[in-house]
Amino acid sequence: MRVSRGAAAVRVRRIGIGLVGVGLGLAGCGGGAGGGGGSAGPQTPAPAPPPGPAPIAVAVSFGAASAEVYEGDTVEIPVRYETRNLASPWRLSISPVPGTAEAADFSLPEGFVEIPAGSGTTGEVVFRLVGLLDSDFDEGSETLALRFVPDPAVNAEIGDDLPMMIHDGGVLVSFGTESAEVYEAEALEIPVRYEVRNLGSPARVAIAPVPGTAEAADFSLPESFVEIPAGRGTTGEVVFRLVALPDSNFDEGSETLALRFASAPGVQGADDLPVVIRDGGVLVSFGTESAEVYEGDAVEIPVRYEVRNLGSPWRLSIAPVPGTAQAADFSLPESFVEIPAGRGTTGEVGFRLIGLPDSNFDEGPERLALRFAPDSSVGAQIGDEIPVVIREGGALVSFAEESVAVEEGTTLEVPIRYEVRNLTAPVGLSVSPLLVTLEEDDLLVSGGALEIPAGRGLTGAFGLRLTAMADDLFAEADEGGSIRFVPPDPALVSLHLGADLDFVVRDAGVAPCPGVRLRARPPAPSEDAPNRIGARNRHLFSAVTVDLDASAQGVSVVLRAPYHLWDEVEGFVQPFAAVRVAEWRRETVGPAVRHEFDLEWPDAAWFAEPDFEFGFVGGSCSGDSTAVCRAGECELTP
Amino acid sequence: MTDGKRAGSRSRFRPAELAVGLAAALTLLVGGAATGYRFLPADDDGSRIVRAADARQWREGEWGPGRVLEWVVVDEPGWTAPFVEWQGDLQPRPFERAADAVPFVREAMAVWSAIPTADIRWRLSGVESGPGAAQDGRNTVTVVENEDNSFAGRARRWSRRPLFGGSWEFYECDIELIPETAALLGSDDRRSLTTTIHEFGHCLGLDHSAQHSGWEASWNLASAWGETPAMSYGWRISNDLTVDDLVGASLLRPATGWRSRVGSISGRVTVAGRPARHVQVLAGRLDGNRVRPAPGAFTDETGNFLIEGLSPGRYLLRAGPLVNEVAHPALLAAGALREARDQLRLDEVLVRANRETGGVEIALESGRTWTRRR
Repeated sequence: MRVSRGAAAVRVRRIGIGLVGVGLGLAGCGGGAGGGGGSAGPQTPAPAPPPGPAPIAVAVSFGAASAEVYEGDTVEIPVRYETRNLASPWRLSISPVPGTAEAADFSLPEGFVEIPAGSGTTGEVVFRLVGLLDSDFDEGSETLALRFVPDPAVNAEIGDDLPMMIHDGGVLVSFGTESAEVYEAEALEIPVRYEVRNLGSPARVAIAPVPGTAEAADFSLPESFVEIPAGRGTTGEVVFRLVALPDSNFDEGSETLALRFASAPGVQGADDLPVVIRDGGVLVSFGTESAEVYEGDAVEIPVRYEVRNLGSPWRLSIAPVPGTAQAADFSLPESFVEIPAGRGTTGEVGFRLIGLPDSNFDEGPERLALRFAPDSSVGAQIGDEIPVVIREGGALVSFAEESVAVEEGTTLEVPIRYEVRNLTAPVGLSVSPLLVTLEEDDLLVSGGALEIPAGRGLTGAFGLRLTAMADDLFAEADEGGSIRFVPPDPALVSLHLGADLDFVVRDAGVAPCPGVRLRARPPAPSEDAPNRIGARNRHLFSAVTVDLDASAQGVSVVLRAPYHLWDEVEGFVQPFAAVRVAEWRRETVGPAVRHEFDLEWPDAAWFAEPDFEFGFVGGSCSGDSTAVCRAGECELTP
Repeated sequence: MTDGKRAGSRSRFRPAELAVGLAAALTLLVGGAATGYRFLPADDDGSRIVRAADARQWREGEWGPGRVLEWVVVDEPGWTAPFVEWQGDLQPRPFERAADAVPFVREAMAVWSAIPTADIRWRLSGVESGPGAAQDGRNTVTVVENEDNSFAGRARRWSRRPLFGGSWEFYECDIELIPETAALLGSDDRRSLTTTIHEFGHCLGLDHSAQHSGWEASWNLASAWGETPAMSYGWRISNDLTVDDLVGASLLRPATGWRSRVGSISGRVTVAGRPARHVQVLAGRLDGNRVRPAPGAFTDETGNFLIEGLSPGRYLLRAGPLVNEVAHPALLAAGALREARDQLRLDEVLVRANRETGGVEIALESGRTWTRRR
């Protein structure tokens, strides 16, 4: 703008020089020496000798007492004439008589009028004066006068000078505000006031941006001008728009520029309009760096916003970014948040994420991320995505062991562990034994009514007690079954039940007398080798174990049956003990001693009384009880 | 004293018509198992406990320590019988002549002389003619007819003692085999030497060993008590000696220093507070944690027993009555206990070298009900 104004000033000075030139021309004209500026002037005849009163050839006068013109405008000034005796057309020069107006302020396109020859005729001719536009809008009206230039060749009666005023013309424009600010992604209408001194036709006044920190990408001017309506002495206001363009930079701070009216003839623009482009749009971010939710539970995730400028509420979508979590693992009941319209406001809204329960309790935490869906319609800066962990919910109940063995006559406590991931209410459940080979009386189960407490991240344990009842059998194979959890509602998926507890009741043997413990392998048919006469006998086999503690000294095993008189062979006077001691092993374990016997005896198909009977005598043993073994079982009888 | 008999036969043994000092032994080829060792006593009391030191020995002059006992095979027609019948089968003709039997007899003798812990040196010099089982200063092996099938073989042990007291001593032994037994010597039967080995054992001074374990005999399987000894009055399936034979022979004719390396167990067996007469006590040696066969012995009429020749170590004992009227008539005549139950003693007994571990008490439970096979 200054440059423009500087150029105008130079132009004024040039005009001033020209004016000086014109003045010299005039002086030369009066002195007989023509100046450069008088090229349009009539040729001056040679001076005549002083006459006597010469007849008036023509009388001329301005047709008005005064005249005025606006800069940029042209006025036709009538010149009246009355010929008396004008022999030939007369070109009557008109010259300006400077007042406040200077040569640059006006022009006389023709500098004369031509009076037609005649005698006794009157008429009127016109000539034009043009008010020249300048860039000074407040100089006020300029004055000058027009004067007929006497012509010695024509005796004419010349009227008075015509006083004239050259009023300021053009238009004055100014911004209707001293400053303006606009938010990114917003348009601003800036008023432009105008004061038309004289506009013959509508004029476009260009408005140019003067860059500050703002760059071209920061704004736009949809129309780069305002149109000033034609008129004279009118004032009014028009507007033009500035659009602040959104960008992705939310923290750049405000940008500045200025608007300036482009200089043009007849247009005087007011000072520049400083404009501030403020960061606009919305800054949104999750109100937490991460989130976690348990299956079967919901979590409210906050979203913080800082609205720089939001004209209308904005629905911002939330999008899940799959990780290990599948679509079936979670839901977003509302998949968006609504940012209220405003300017310079902050706040927080939220949305819900629900961890969906499933039947898999050991999958471990599932992961996903949440992010804001980009929306180009709103200048927004969106925060980073946040990781979300979906933790397993519900509760896990399991036995601390996969399988246990309970010895007859003993009680075994089996811990039942629970791990509450997330339970909103206590859950009760029980255990149920599944007995395969056992009778109900063989196993006593207690402590099987369980209540899992509500809570989150809890662990604990219950004690389940299994009591295997003692009996008189001592060659029992392991008898077993399983114990399983019984949930109150089978469809309660939030309760994950561990595997069944397999148990065996291990035969503890019997105590035939103090300090002696007797066990045996269930008697079973043995694979016999042929005997010495080639026959294959049928036998039962068992391994009998006798444990003696330190108190059992002097104990002996008595073989009570079967005995057999081998009647094919003469000479034997008492029956054989029909029990073969195939192996006898003895080992010492601390103060205790263990004897193991591998025994065989004839089975029922061969002997009438096939039972193998034995007892214990000596030391603490009275020999009162008898252990009886037959196919599949051994029993201690009183 | 006793003869053997044929399997399944109904014939009875017949007492040997021999002079005082003649001891006879026979092998029962079909019968119950037997384990342990027994000696012929040096005195006339066959019912008391017989220590090795009290056993009848060879006279120093005939077969003292380090000396070699000479044997001959007597040429008898029985060696060349045209055929023999054995257990219903015709056996091939055994030998063309008596000299053909010499290698087999030497093999049977070598079974005994190979015992490393015993001093048994004898030699078969060849075949001679003349009577076999005659008190003629020769130790002979001959074949005799046994028309009533009362035995398979026998040993005639000739003994002497001073006229006014002293111990009986062997001075000659004659072995008689029947043609069927002689035929076995030349066969592929695994038992071909058993009778001959058995009879040579008698000539060493071994008596019929203890018989025990009853049903153990029903299987050809190993047991805690081992296999049937060569000196048993029972079934033999092998020509090998068992621990009972080895120990028994070694106790009679010990190698130098062996007796000082072994120990013994002694004690008493009772039943209802009374002595358990002539019941068997078997030892089982603990090898690691397994019971391995070891020798056994009988109690005497006071219930006392002594098991000698035991390697140092830990032993478990089994006791119970089991005598045979054919093999042990003297014991039966002396009131051997018959109605008591077998017993396995669970306390171990420690044996040290050259020591006798005494005081072992075993109280048997009376009664022995039995069942008859279907």
